[in-house]
Amino acid sequence: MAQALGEDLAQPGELQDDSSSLGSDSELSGPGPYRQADRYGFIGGSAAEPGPGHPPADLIRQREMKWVEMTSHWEKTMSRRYKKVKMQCRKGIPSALRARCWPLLCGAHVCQKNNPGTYQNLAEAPGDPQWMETIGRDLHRQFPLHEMFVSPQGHGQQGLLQVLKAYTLYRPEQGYCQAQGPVAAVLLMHLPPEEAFWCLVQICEVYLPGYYGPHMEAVRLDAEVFMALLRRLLPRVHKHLQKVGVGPLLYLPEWFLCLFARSLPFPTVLRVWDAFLSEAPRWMGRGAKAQNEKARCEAVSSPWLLAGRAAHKLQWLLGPAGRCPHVAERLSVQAAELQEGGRSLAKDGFGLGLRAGPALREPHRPAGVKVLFRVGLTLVHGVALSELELQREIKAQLAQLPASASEPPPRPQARLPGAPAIFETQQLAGTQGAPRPEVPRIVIQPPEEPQPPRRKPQTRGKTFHGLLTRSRGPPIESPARSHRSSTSFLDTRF
Amino acid sequence: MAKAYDHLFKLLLIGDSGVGKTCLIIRFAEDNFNNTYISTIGIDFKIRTVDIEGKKIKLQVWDTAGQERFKTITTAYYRGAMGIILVYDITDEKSFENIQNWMKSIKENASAGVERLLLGNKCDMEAKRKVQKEQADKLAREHGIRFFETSAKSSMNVDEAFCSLARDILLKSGGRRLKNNNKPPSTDLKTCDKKNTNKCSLG
Repeated sequence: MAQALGEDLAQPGELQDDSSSLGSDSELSGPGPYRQADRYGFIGGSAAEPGPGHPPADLIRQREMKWVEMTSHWEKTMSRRYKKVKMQCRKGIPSALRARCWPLLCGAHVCQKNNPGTYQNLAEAPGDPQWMETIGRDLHRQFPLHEMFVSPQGHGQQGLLQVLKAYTLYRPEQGYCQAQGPVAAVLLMHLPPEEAFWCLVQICEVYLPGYYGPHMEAVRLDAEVFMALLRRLLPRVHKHLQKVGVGPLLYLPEWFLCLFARSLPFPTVLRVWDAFLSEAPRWMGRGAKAQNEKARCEAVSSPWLLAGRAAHKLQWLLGPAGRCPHVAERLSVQAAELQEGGRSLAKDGFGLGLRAGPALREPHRPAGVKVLFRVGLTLVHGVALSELELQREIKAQLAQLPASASEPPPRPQARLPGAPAIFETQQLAGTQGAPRPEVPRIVIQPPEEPQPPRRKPQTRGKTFHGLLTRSRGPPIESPARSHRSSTSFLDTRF
Repeated sequence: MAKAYDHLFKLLLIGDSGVGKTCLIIRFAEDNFNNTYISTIGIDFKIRTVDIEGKKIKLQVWDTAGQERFKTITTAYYRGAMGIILVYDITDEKSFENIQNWMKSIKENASAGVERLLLGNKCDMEAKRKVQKEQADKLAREHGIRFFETSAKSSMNVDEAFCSLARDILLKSGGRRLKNNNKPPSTDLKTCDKKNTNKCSLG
C-alpha cells in the first residue's frame, strides 16, 4: 500500500510542476536591477529553473480536462468519486486550475458563498492598530524575491495587508500570527484576495486549528507526536537526533506552520499543498468508523513528508545501478531541485544536529544526508501505522503535555481530515439549514449562483429542450415549468 | 583528532519582531547585508568561529522569532544559551520598552548565570532615532550588562558586540578554571575593569 502510494506520488516526469500558467504580471519597477523571473514568479529563478523535466503538454491538457470535468459538478464528484480527486491531487493539480481547485478542496467557496460581502466589509474596515503594525512590519518579508511581492505598492504586498488584516478582524481573539504571512502569500500567488482570505480561514480553522493562535498549542502537540512516531518508526534517526540534541521544535514549527512554503523548492511546495488541501495531516482521527475499517495508512503519509517520499523515489530511479536510465535524463532537473529540497530540509532540520549538536565532530557531517534519506527510504518502503495507533499516539502525547492554567489544551479532534470531511460537514450544515457550530454564519442565498452544479435539476431539463433557445436566467415564467414536467416525462420514457 | 575550536558558546538573540535580529546574525556570520529578508518563524541559527585571546571560539548564534506568541516555542531554548543578546531598534520606542519584558523572560527561563548584552540596532538611521543612547546606557547599567549601538547595515559595532559577549563568557568559564590552577587571569584590563564596575552596580 505504502509503496503504491509512493509510486503515484512520484511518477517519473511528474515531480516538477507543469507550466501551463505562466504567473502574474510583473511588478519589477521597484529598485534593483531587472532580472528575469522564473515561471513561478521568482526573480533569479533559484526556486525553479525552466527545464525539460515538466510533464509533456498533452498530459497536462489531459489532466486539465479531468479537473474541468470534476469541478464542473463538484458536489457529485466529492460525494461519489473522492478517490479520483485524491489521486489527481497527488499527481499535482495543473497550474492553470489551482485557482479553481484550492477553494473547492478546502471548502472556501462555500464559506464565501454563505458570507457574501463579508470579506469586502472586513477589507474596508480599519484594522486594530496593534495588528496593523505587526502585519506592516512583515509585508516586505514574505517571498521578497517573488515578483509579486517586490514592490511595497504592488498588489502582492497590498493584497497581503488586506487579507491578513481581514483575518484579524474576522477572528479578533486569534489575531495575527507571523506564520500566516507566508501561507497567505502563497495563496495570493494563485488566488484573488477574497478567495485567498477564505482559504486562509479554512486552513487556520479547519485544517490546523490551534496552530496560529496566541499559544500555538497544537504545533507543540504535533511536534511531540512527530517525535513519538519517529521514535517508533525510525528509531535510529530518533536516537541520532537525540544524541545531537536536536528537538522537534527546532525545525518543525517552520515546516508545519508555513506548510513547507519556505522549506522546499517551490514546485514541490505546490505539490505538497495540493495533497495537503485534499488530505490534510493524518494525525487526527476519522472517528470510530475509520478505526473499524482498519485502514492501514502510512504514519507519515501525511503531506508533510510527501516530498521526502518523492525525493526518495527519485533517488531510487536514478540509483547507482541505473534502474531506469532512460528517465534519468528527463529527471535530471528535478534531481537538482530535490537535492535543493534535501539541502533545505537538512539545513532546517535533520542536518541541524550535525552542525549544532554539542557532542558532534566534523567526521559525522555526511550523516545528515544519510539521515534524510533514511527518512525517505522508510517512507517509501512501507512504514505503516493504523489510524488507531496514530490516535493512540496523539492521546498519549496529549496526556503527557504539561497542563498550563493560562493556555487552552490542544484539541486535535477539532480538525477535519481533508477535503472529504470538510465537504461532508458543509453539506450537513447546508441540509440542516443551520450554520456550522464553531463558525456562526448567516446563510443567505446569493441572488446569482456562481456554481453551475447546484442548478443541476434545472439544467438537465434544459439540455433536452430549452438550452439552445433560452438564456440561463432564473426560471420564473410558467412555460419553464411545463417544459420541466414534460422533461421528466421524457426522462421516464428513455 | 584535534578539535577545530577550543570552546563552543551558544548565544541567543531575542527582541521584538523586526528589530533586525536576523540581519545582525547574518552580518556577523556572513558579513553580508541586503534588503531582502524573511521573517523568522520559530528558530534558526548561524555559526562563526572567532579568535579571542588566542583561543578559537565557535559561536553558535541562535535566532528567534520576535512575535510574542512564539515565546512558547523559543523559551525552550533559553536554558541552553550561555549568552543572551537583547536587541531593540533605536527608531522604535516600543521595542526598547519591551526590553524589560524580555529581561523578565530571561529571568524566568534562562540559566541563572547567563551573560547578557543589550544592543540598539539600526544606528545608521540617526534621523529617525527615537531612543536616546543615554536611556539605553542607563538601562544597561541598571541590569549590570554591556550595551552597544549597532548597525547591521553599516556593520558598525557588530563584531565588537558579539566578540565582547564571547569574551565575557570565556572569562567567566576560563577565570574559574584559571583560579583552580592558581594563575592570575590574563585579560585585557579595559574589559576586566568595565565588567567589574558593571557587576558592582548589580550589588
